[in-house]
Amino acid sequence: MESSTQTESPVLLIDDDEELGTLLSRFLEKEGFEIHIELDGSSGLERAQSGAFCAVILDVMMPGMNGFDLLRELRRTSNVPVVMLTARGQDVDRIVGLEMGADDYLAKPFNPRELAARLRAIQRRMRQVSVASIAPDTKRVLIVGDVELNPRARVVKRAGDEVVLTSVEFALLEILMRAAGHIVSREDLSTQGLGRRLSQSDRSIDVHVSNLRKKLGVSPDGGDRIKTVRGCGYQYTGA
Amino acid sequence: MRAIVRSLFFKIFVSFWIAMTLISAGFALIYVTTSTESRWERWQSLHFDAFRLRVREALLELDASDERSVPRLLEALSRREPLVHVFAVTENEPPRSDIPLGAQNLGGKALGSLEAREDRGDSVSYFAVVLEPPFPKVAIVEELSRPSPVLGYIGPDTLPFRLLVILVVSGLVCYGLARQLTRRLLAIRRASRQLAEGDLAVRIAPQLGELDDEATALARDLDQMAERIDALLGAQQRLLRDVSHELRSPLARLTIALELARQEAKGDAAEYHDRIAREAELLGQLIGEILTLTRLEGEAKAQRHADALDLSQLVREVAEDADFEARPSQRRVEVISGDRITLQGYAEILRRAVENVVRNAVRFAPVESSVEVRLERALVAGRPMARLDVRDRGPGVPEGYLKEIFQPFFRVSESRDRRSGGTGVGLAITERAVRLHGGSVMARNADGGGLIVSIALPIAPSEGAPV
Repeated sequence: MESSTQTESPVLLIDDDEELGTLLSRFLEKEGFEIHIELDGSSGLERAQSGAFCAVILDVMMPGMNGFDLLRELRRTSNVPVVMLTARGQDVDRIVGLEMGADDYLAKPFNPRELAARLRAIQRRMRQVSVASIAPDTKRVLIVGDVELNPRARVVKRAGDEVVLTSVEFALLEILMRAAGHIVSREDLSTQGLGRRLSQSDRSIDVHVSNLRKKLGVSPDGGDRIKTVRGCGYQYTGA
Repeated sequence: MRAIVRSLFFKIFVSFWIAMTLISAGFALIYVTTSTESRWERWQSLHFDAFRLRVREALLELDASDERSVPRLLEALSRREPLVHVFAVTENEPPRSDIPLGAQNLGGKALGSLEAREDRGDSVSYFAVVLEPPFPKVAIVEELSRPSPVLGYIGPDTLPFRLLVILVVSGLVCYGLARQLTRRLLAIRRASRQLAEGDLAVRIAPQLGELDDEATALARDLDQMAERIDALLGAQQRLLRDVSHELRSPLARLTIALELARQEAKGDAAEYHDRIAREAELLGQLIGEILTLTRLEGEAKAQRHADALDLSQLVREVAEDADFEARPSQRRVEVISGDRITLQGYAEILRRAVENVVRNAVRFAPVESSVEVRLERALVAGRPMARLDVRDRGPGVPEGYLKEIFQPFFRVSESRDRRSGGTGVGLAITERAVRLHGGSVMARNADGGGLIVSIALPIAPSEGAPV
C-alpha cells in the first residue's frame, strides 16, 4: 500500500452521518489525506465552491439538499473532482451521479481503502497536470479536427469555443485524442483515466464517454466524434 | 368450442332463449288452435255488420229522388273499401255477365227478405242489403274473398312466421341480457387476473360504469381486497427497505472501524479481520440486493428507463465477466449461440437479471465444467421473444422446487446453499426484473443433468428485424 506522507491539499467530506465522518477522517488522515467534514448540504456546497479543496466526497442521501442537488449547483461554478457515495442497490443513483458530472462513485457501505485509492487516482490526475506544465514538450497541444486540447492549461476548445469538462472527462478525452484513429479498450481507459482496474459490470466509462459526446456535440461532418467499438472500446475518429 | 359451451354467457343465453321461445310459442299455439273456421266466421260477421252500417251511413247523404243515387252509393262504397266488390241487383232484371252469378242470386233472394247472406264454399261469401224506400228497391251485394290458405302459412300474421319472429326477437333480447350480465363478470375477471399477476394498482368498480348491482358490489369488494393487499405489501416492503437502509449506516461505520483496527493492529489478528471483512461484505451485498428487489417490486413498469439496448452484447459482456471470475475455480462460462437481438429495456436491471442467473449457474457448476449460455430468437405464443437459456452441469433442483427458487430467500437445502455463498435474493431479482419487462423466467432440469434457467423477453416487432 502506498502510504504517502506528504499532505496534499485537503479533501472535503459532505455527509450527514457525523460518526462515519469522524471514523473516515481518522482513517484517511492515517493514509495521508487532510479531511474536512461538513454535515449538511448547503454549508457543504458553500465550502466546496471555495476552491480550497482538491476533491469532494459527497453522500447522495442527505436530508435537506441531497447530493444530486448539491452536485448540480456545484457544477455550475466548479470543476473540483467529486466522488459520490451512493446507496448500494440503487444502481440508478450512480448513473445519475456520473451523468451529472461526478468523477467517481462508491456504493455505501464501502471499503475505506478503496476510497483512499480513488482519491489518490484523482490526485495523480491533478499532479500529472502540474507535471505537464513543467515538461512542456511531452504535453503539447493536441488538435484533432476542430477540437483542440491543451493539457497544460487544461482547456478544451471546439471551433475556438471552450468546452467545460470535469477532470475525468478531460483525462479520457486526452487519452482518446492521443490515440485518435485507434481503438482504446475500456480497460485501458479505466486504468489510465480513472486510475483503477475496470471492475465487472462497471459502466462508469460508458457514462463518462456519453457525457463527453454530449458536451462535444457531433463533428462538423455530422458523424460521432467518439465511436463505440462493440465489445472492444472506444475510438476517436479522424486523425 | 367447449370453452364457449361451458361459459356462463352461453348457459345464460341458451336457457333464457329456450324459456322465452317456449313461452311465446305456447301463446302462439293457443291462439292458433282456435280453428280457422271460426275465425273466418267471425271475420265475416264483423265485416258484414260494418258493411250494413256503412250502407246506412252512405244513404243519409243521398237524395232518394235522384236516379243516380244508386251508382253514387256503389261508387262511395267501393271507394271506402277498394278491396271489396260491390254490385247493385234490381228486380226483374235479366242476368248480367259483369256480376258474379252468386251475387245476382243472392241479390234476388235478398229483394224478397231485405237482407241475405250466403257462404259460397270456402273462398267467397256474399252479403246483400236491400235499400229501403224511398230509395228504389235495389239489393247492394258485397263480395268478400276468403284469404288464400297458402297465405295462412307465410303471411305476417301466421304461425310459422310468428314463431320465426319470436325466435329472432327473443334470441336478440336474450343475447343482450346474457351479454350484459356476463360482460360485467368478464370485466371483473380481467381485472382480477391483473391483480393475480401482481398489478395491485388496478381498480375494477370504476370500469363497470354507473349501474349498481351485485356485480358492482363484487367489484367493490375485490377493490377493497386489492387495496388492503397493496397496503400490506407496501408496508412489508417499506419495512424491509427501511431496515436495510438503517442497517447500512452502522455497516458503513463498521467497515471503516475495521480498517482502522487493521491499521492499529499492524498485521496482528489479520485472520479475524479478514473474516469480519468478509462477513461485512456479505451483509452489504445482502442489503444491496434486498433494496434492489424492493425497488423493483415498487416499480410498476420498466418503461421509465427503457432504452433500445443490445441484449446480445449485454449477455456477452456478462458471460465474459463471469468467465473471468470463474476461471480461478476451474469453471468456464461459454456463449454457445448469441443471436443479435435488440430490445426496449432498462439496461441496468436486465444486466442484473442476466448476471444473477449466470452467477447462480457458476455457483453450482462442478469443477472443470462449463456453464452454457444461449441467446436465441423464439416465437412464444405467437410473439417474437428473445430466449436466453443458461445451463449448468450441476446437481439441478428437485422438481417440486423449480418454481420456488425464484422466491426471495428460498433455499433448496440449507447447508448446500449456504456453502455455495449466495444471498438467496439473486434469482428473485431476476424474476422481478424480467417480469417488469413483460417477460417470464422458468427453470427446468436438463436431460443430461444440471439446471436450465430460461428467460424470455418480448421483442417489439419493430426492433425484431434481423441485422
